[in-house]
Amino acid sequence: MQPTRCLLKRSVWKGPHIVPLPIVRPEPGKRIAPIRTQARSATILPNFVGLKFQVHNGKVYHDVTITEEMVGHKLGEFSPTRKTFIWDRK
Amino acid sequence: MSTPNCLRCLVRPSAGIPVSGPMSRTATTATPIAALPLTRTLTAPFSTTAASNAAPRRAFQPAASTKGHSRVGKKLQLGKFKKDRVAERGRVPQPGERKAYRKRITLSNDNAIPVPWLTDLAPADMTAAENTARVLALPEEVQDQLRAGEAFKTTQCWGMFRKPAVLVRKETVNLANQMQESADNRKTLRLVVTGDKVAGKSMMLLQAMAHAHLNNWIVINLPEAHEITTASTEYAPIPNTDPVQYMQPVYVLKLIHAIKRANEQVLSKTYTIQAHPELPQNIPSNTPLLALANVAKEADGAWPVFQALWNELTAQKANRPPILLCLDGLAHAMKVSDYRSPSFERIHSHDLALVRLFTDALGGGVQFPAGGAVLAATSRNNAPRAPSMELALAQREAEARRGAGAAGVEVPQKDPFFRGYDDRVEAVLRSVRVLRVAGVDKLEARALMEYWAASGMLRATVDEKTVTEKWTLAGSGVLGEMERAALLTMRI
Amino acid sequence: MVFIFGVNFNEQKLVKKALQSFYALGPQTADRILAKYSIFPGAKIGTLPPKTLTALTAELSTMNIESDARRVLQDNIKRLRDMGTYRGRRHAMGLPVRGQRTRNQTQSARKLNKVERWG
Repeated sequence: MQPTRCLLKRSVWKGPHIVPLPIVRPEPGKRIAPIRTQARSATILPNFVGLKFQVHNGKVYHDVTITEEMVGHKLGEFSPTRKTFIWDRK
Repeated sequence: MSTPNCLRCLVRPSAGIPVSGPMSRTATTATPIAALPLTRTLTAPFSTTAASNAAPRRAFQPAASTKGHSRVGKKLQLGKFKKDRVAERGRVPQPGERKAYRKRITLSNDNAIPVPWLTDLAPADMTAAENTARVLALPEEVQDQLRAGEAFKTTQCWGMFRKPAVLVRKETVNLANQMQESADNRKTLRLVVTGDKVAGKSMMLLQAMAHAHLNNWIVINLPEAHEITTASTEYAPIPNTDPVQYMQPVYVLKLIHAIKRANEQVLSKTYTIQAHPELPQNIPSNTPLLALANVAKEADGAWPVFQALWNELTAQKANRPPILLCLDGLAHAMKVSDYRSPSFERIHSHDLALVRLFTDALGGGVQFPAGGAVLAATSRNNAPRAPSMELALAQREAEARRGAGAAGVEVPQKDPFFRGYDDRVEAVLRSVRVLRVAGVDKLEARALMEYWAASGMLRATVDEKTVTEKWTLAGSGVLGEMERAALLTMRI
Repeated sequence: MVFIFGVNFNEQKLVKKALQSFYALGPQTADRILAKYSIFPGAKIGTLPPKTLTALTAELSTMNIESDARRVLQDNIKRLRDMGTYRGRRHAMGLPVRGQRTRNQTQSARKLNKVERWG
């Protein structure tokens, strides 16, 4: 809609918030363990696509599989931290 | 607690005797208590609400339907007649009616006394120095012409006198002589009238127009520059112009009609020198210019007609009368206008074709065949800041004073740290003359006040003392201020 | 009555206001359209020649307004929802999206925040 919208989030000179994560490229035919992290504020970079993350929400780790359209968002956006209040929740 | 009755005379202030009004009740109905018939039921002897007692209390009438509000009758009613009154809106004004009322020009007042010694302006009156400090009336036909050209303004006090009359002052004679001289020499006078607020700048233009009409000039008047440049009338780009110029068809149509009405006599005796086949109605050569102006019937074709008319009027080697071109509120024509070009940039006023036509003439780009004048007046009431114009006028004025031999006059220079100057404006005003209109002297003030007194509008003896008083009150004879001090105090 | 872009307008209406009545067309864009067709700001619809009216309609039909603009809006929300982001969730629940309180005063959010958002 507006080209400036994504630019307003953060100063351009800072670049995206890059957190060093233990990213290993999987060899074909080999499964690797998901990356467990507490870095909710890490920006999803294009080389994350296809990887599995376990993102901490303060209590548990939620599984997140990164797709192409998630690039540019933060990891924390995909791991909800609040529980909806339901009366008489068992 | 005070007793309700007067102990000394046993009189009750208000017994229930029916009377007409609340005021008469306390004053006239003091009846001895013994005289009252015993059977009469007495109302409260003391009441602070005389007014409400006077009117019979309106019994509350419950609504016809039983399903009213549950607390019906107990509602707090703040307005006295809130429910009964139907809002009367009156007649709604027609579209344009209020504007017409706002802009109406009244030139005559039947209640004013006709001034016996008032004579009409003659063609040579304004150029004669002996007419300085005389009030002269505008002849009937000139009134009509000036009205058609919108020379009168609502802020001027025309509506107070029997017939419109003007004070011939030194500046008037000066200006009229300059005009006449340029017409005699077939030259074009280019002049800007400037001065303080309400000093009579527009009136100077009006006098110039009156002089021109009396001498059978052609007068073209652009009454207010802000009507042209503040984006309040339609505009359209003119094809095949580079850089693009803009025409204002609706305004130009109005202008053509005004020119036609104001100069009917002269235009009917002036003939075209070339044919105009490009106009909606073919105009052969040797046709009266009035017929050419009559071609403009609709806004669509108004600009080409105006252009043809202008080309005819300014055609060299043709037999033309002198031309007077006037514009009031110059500052508006010397700034960037409020119109937008298709690429959303502000259009400079000089790119509006009508303003361009005027500024070309003011800058010396156009020579009228039989001479004439291009006059502009600044305004102090409705004027945007035009730094270049202000500077240029100050420079021209200083140069003129220096040229006249005044010692120690410094020509103001540009402020090097200011960015708002406009080269196009400077180019236009590089060689104009400037006429500064200041206050009138006491002789002129006295003549004017005598005219006011003779018209019955100034109820005072016009002697040295009154004249000096009003002249001083008006800041050394600023005419508008004199009107305020002496004339408008009567206005109710 | 004059038609612009399939909508009927009173002849007395200002052209600028008429343009602004379309969804996703605000004062700035309306000003630019007026300048593009050399219509002065005080122009009323009744004074426009038919040629300009058709040009305006053609101009509006190329723009991203009304249902097109609404669809863009809805697509954006739907994308958030499908990704499973927090913002998408909050839209779907009809709750404030940007960290406002939810104890009370969430009328605007309840009215507007939907996946199929209209306004």
